Amino acid sequence: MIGIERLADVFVGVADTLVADFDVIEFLHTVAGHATEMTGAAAAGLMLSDLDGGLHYMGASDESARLLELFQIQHEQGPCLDCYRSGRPVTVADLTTDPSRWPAFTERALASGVRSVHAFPMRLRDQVIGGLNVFGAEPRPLDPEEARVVQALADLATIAIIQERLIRQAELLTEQLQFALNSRVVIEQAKGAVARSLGVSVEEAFDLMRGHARRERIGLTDLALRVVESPEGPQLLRPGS
Amino acid sequence: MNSSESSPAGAEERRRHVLALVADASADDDLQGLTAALQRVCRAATTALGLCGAAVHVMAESGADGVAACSDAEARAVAELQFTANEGPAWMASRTRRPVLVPLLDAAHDRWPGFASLALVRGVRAVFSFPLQQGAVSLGVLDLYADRAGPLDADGLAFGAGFARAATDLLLDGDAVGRAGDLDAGLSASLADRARIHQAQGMVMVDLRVTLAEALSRMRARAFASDTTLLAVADEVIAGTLTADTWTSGDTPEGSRP
Repeated sequence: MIGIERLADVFVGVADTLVADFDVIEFLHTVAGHATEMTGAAAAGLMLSDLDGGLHYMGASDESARLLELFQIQHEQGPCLDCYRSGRPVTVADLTTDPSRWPAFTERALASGVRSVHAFPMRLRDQVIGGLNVFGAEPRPLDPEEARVVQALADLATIAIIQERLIRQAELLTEQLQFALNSRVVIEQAKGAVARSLGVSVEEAFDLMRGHARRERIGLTDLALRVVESPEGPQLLRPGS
Repeated sequence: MNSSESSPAGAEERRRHVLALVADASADDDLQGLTAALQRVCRAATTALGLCGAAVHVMAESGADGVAACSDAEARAVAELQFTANEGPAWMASRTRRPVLVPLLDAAHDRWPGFASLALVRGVRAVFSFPLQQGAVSLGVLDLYADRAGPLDADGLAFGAGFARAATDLLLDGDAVGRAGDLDAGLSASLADRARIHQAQGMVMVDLRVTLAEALSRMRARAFASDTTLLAVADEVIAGTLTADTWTSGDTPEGSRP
């Protein structure tokens, strides 16, 4: 277990990464690195679920952890999957004690030099979004203090990821809303301008605009923007011009 | 605010309570999906907080906006007044990303001379506007209208914010914008009134040979001068009863008349 001062550094460092220019993959690699350091384990990895509940490998402290994560996802068995499904920590001090529990995973893990696995859920309220998994080269239980610290790290990572997902989603929606609202507005304005300028109905004006946009291979919104640029803009749509 | 409200357990309990109230509220038969759900939020808030109405504005950062849902037609009219007046608490809430609480609309004449006078005529005495936001992103505003002056109490504020949260979640989850960038059909229909105003704006640009921005200012000025709504002015323009020839009366501010 690492000292209290270093522990404080780790948490302050993790919190710092949340402030600006947040990159979720970078962040998860950092978290995996910290989890190894905290427990003195050989490697650590993270899995996250997508919206449909499928698990994806997200980051690891090194290649061996990456392979073990991928292996579990592919074979749909292993401590990390059990942890994700149950929402509770799964801790195995020595994989050789009960090799029949996850036969394929255990064989693969032992071949990679992994003897112990400790899997922590990443959860918020009743939602489990993934897991943080620590792989040890030696058979060793985690003491309760260590387990608490790693779980706290997993919780912090969970909050960061959920926040990031919501913000990303909201940004995308405002962008789309903004575009949809703006293009609606300018198209309606152009319809009115063309209708008045050419003495046609609003519906006819819209048909004229659509026909013109198709022929000239420009977007309807772009055409509308040109139409409303000035009171003369609608002349663009005059037949023969 | 008492301790149960500020505790996480209290917040969680309130969230569930808000969702239960929304689920119990009714929506008009002709609404579906997102707009029906948003109307339920408006009606649940109106009932729970003893208001006369509520409305959800969607807003883009460019200033383009529209009323996505409302508790009833009267609430929609009040919400639309802010577009007529080009000012109001919802727009301020969206811009500042903070709730704008106006317990005494009578005292808000200096702040929003146009909106305050128009809303008071319609019997509104207090307005509470909550931004619909996720992180730094702002999607719109939930407006609450009361026909009695007076502040929301701590519970009312917490519930107001809770209903705003529910509306935000609906917008985020509700396929407001399709894959092709097209608006949800119900949302689109809800914004249709505004479309007539924009069409009329294009017509006035041509009729008066002014810029688009100027065209809208002239329409607003006319709505004020003739004590009518922007939509009514737009309908006159579209119907052709208000044309270049007839436009001169009551449409320009005093000083600029010829």
